[in-house]
Amino acid sequence: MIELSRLDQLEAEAVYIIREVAAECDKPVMLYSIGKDSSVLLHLAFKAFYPEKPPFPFMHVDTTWKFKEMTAFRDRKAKELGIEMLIQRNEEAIKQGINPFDHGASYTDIMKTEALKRGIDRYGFTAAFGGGRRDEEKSRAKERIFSFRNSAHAWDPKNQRPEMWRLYNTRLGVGESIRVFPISNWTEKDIWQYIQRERIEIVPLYFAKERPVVYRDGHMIMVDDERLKLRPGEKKVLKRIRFRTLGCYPLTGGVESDAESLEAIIEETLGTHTSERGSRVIDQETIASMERRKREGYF
Amino acid sequence: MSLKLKSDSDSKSLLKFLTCGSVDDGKSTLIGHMLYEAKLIFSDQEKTLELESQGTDREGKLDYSLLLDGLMAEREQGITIDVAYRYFATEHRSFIVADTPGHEQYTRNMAVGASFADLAVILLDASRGILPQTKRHLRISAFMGIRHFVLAVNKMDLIAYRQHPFKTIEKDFLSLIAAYDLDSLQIIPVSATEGDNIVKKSLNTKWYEGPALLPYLE
Repeated sequence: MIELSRLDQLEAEAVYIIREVAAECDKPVMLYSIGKDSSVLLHLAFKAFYPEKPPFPFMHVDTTWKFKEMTAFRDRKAKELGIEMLIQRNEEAIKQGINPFDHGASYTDIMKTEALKRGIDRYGFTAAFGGGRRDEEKSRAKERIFSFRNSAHAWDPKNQRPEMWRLYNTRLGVGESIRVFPISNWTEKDIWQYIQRERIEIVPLYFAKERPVVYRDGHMIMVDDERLKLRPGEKKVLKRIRFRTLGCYPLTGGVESDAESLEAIIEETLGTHTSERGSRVIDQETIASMERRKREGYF
Repeated sequence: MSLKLKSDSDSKSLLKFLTCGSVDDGKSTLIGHMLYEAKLIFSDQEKTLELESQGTDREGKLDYSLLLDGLMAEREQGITIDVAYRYFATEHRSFIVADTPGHEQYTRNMAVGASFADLAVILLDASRGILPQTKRHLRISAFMGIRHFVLAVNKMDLIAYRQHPFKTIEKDFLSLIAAYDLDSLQIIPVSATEGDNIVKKSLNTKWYEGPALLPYLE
């Protein structure tokens, strides 16, 4: 028997899951968030069907508050790879001027959860791949790889379907849809090592560079455009930072770092003492904010 | 995570194991304590744990189960409902642990964890001995194909770390497993709340000659 390395095992598991969904589900879509986990997922989707292209479209839930470098990266990647990239926004809320500064916790509900739900309903997708990992957060650690959602897209953590060995049951009840997490069993370190091994291109924001930031509520927030207004006493300063996770720029804290290469990032990740979600402003609001969001239909 | 981690972990072997056993025998607490003591959690998670433990009835001591029981309902009721998967690595090995629920009502979720694992750590409460749920979990684990077992005799602090009750449990368990075709079994006296024989050998059980739990798994 051939002994697979840890990364090979994880890759094989993910490819198997992606193919399983393509074979069993009517209308799959792959959610693409432009982050490092999404970049790995996209790469795995191409591997799973090579030399063909993945037999499903991709969808980005765009809050309009992503870093500029992220949207540019998304558009270039979609073009290079020749994939269908659906861009889903909550237009109504954008017109109403919903923003991360004035609308706090409900901002994510409206711009991400609501937009995602509408996107899935609009195209009638029955299964949506996502790049969630169990090591990210305590409620994700409890979620199945095939996570069922009811007609309101809600997750019921107290009543999950059994998932034995590698037998995935894709049968849907009325109105149900599935969220599928092929990289559930990967850790942050696995992601970085895989990116390095496979030479996967990622958004440059992950690498250290001098960037304009303000200190706000214990985080270093990058001033990505003029929509971020300085509060009294705040000053824009140049800092050498990088990002461990990427989301909406006003809600994503940077970390001071000199890591300009993948090797340096891996070295830094191995020695780090805080979890990656610690740099997300959204997760820290309440202890169970991720679970609440999932129950309401968030990824 | 630990500074000792090397970047060549790609080639380190991976052990998938589960913790099972009856309700309140201390499964989540055991894994929580192991991660905490072996410094396998991040400092922000440690801080959250310290904060959250203040609201519990453990008289200001840390409630390690909160590291694993991530669902709101679980924390409200102080029980585990569904499997939690945790990933960690030491110098010698990487691990995935499935922490499973003990309640009869959630046995199917325990079976999910068992289908995933290569080794089962069965816990039991030293002051209560072998319970029907202990036997059920042993049977399900063996049925799902697991051949390697650890019996962690927990709550040794409640029986003043005496060897005699431990020996009785050991004897009972050995007669229980005679019916199964196992490849390995290690029986370890532990205390999940106090931390005896979890990461390192305890002075409270000098009569015990085997390894502590984490070194054994490595």
